[in-house]
Amino acid sequence: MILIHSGAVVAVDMLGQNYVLLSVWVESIPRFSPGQFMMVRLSEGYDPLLLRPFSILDAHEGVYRFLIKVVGKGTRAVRGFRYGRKVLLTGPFGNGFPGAARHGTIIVAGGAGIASVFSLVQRLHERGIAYELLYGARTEAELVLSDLLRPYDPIISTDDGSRGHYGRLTDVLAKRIKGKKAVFACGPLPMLAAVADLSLRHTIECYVSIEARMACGFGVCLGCTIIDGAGNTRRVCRDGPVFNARDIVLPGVC
Amino acid sequence: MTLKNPIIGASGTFGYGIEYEKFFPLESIGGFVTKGLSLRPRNGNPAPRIREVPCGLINSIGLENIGIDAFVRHVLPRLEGADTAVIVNIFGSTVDEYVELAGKLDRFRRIDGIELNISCPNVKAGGAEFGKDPLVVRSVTAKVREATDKTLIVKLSPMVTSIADIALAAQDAGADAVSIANTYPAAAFDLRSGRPFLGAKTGGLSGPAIKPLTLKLVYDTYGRIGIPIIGVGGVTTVEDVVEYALAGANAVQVGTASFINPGTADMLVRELAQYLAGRGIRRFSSLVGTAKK
Ligand SMILES: Cc1cc2nc3c(=O)[nH]c(=O)nc-3n(C[C@H](O)[C@H](O)[C@H](O)COP(=O)(O)OP(=O)(O)OC[C@H]3O[C@@H](n4cnc5c(N)ncnc54)[C@H](O)[C@@H]3O)c2cc1C
Ligand SMILES: Cc1cc2nc3c(=O)[nH]c(=O)nc-3n(C[C@H](O)[C@H](O)[C@H](O)COP(=O)(O)O)c2cc1C
Ligand code: FES
Repeated sequence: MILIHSGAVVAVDMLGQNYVLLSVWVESIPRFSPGQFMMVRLSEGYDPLLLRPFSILDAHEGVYRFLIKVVGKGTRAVRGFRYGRKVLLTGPFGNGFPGAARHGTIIVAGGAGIASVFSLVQRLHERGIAYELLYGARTEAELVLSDLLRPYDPIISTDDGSRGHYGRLTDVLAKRIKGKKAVFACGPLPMLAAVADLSLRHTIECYVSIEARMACGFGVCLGCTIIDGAGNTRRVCRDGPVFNARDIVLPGVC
Repeated sequence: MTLKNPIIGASGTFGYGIEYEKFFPLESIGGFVTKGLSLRPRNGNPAPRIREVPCGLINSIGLENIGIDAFVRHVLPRLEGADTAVIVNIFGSTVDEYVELAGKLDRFRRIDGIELNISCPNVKAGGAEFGKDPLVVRSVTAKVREATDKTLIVKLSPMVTSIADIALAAQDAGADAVSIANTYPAAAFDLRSGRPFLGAKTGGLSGPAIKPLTLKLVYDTYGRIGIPIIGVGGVTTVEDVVEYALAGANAVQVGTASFINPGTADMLVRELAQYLAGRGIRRFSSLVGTAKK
């Protein structure tokens, strides 16, 4: 499988103030599992030096899409990308969500976390597998993928009540978790901790996709290592980014 | 040990070699150096362990590794078929540990060389402390030399008063080559928190930012020693490889550049061949040290 790709930008769409939907054409799209990510080179020179990890939003007919939240030097540059710009990508890397083909999955996406579960939702939907999608953010302005999600009937919530349910994602989850088979979540760490806590209390399997600073993305730099619940080292890029919530230590979960 | 070409994957950036098989056939490069191995597995430093700065990377991995026994048992057999030089980077917190590590590796045919890491800025005991004093370098190298017949490479710290004196000490003690150099101690602070970015507070700087510094160290050492110099610091393009040769390096190691593109080392082998052919240069070795002549 080819893991180093020379791509070309085919579209840069701003979604609200802070998000970019980046579409990159590559010669051959390798097969990927939902939850896997690519490393994307956002500069031409040496600053920023390293590639940046982004979840594969989806991939169709030679075009990868990424949902990118503008937070710093590298992601700011994406807004200025023009049609035809060359981009180096490596991947797909990481493990993705397991056993996805099960009825009764509940998917929880907070803010930019939607990027990591979007293709999972697409696949479950295509296969006619029953799922529920909870999509939340602090305010309506951050629910940038709502339009793309319309076919998948998301249950929407905002912390400030500007759209959908008024309150935290986890409050919505608490009302719906009973009887579910598995919880798959991606979002900010405190949210993941709360989701994991809730799932474990209901003895429902919970998988979370987490982030770490990455230099390589394929397991050699050991920059992304975390210590798991058993005291062993795990590389987020290779052993994750999706972990069984039982195996890792999330802040505030015991 | 003879290398088929002068491009080597650098320790800590090339895993245990097998991780790169999915990017290119290992036999295309001259060799690679494993992640630094210690007698027992190590968990390394707290996160975050990496911080980017313009043109450079500060890491504070802290020599996380699987330990020498797991390496020889599980990894080494998988390298049996790869026609490339396997160099094992070792790290101890006492001289005896270095000797024990070298002794353990000596019986494995598949291992072509041992690189002594006496220059890691990210550990408290051993590491760079061993690399600062020519007398200490001489004694560590000499004791390891007795424990192994493998090609012995000593990896030097850049943070010394006279790198050539340290290199001489390694040569006198029986080293077959020196790698110049490891990362440079570095720090970066977060204005928002007012604290260091790295969990370990400080780390080591690598990448294009350090190339001119390390080139100078190679240049200073060339001519002062008779054994080969391996240049390591910021090598990213074929021009960098040639520059290191001009300064006096017989081979180079590619580190951080493999993070930018995991195919870098393989690409450099091909581009170097083209570069030399395009200029009618028959042998890479004819370039070595020419800037000093
Ligand atoms: C497996 C994985 C998948 C990801 N998927 C997506 C995605 O689909 N969409 C998306 O918008 N972002 C995603 N991220 C986060 C994204 O990689 C970072 O936001 C990006 O690297 C920031 O680059 P920058 O140069 O703009 O920021 P920098 O200038 O490097 O840093 C700016 C800020 O971003 C934070 N940051 C930087 N790197 C990371 C990182 N690796 N993880 C978390 N925070 C970071 C820093 O704390 C800092 O405050 C993912 C991260 C990982 C590890
Ligand atoms: C993430 C990382 C881990 C490293 N680990 C080791 C190590 O275990 N042993 C060692 O001798 N050098 C280690 N190094 C240093 C490199 O081998 C090399 O000397 C240094 O990075 C300079 O080369 P570069 O600029 O090409 O990266 C490490 C470097 C990096 C970036
Ligand atoms: S990012 Fe390099 S090991 Fe995970």
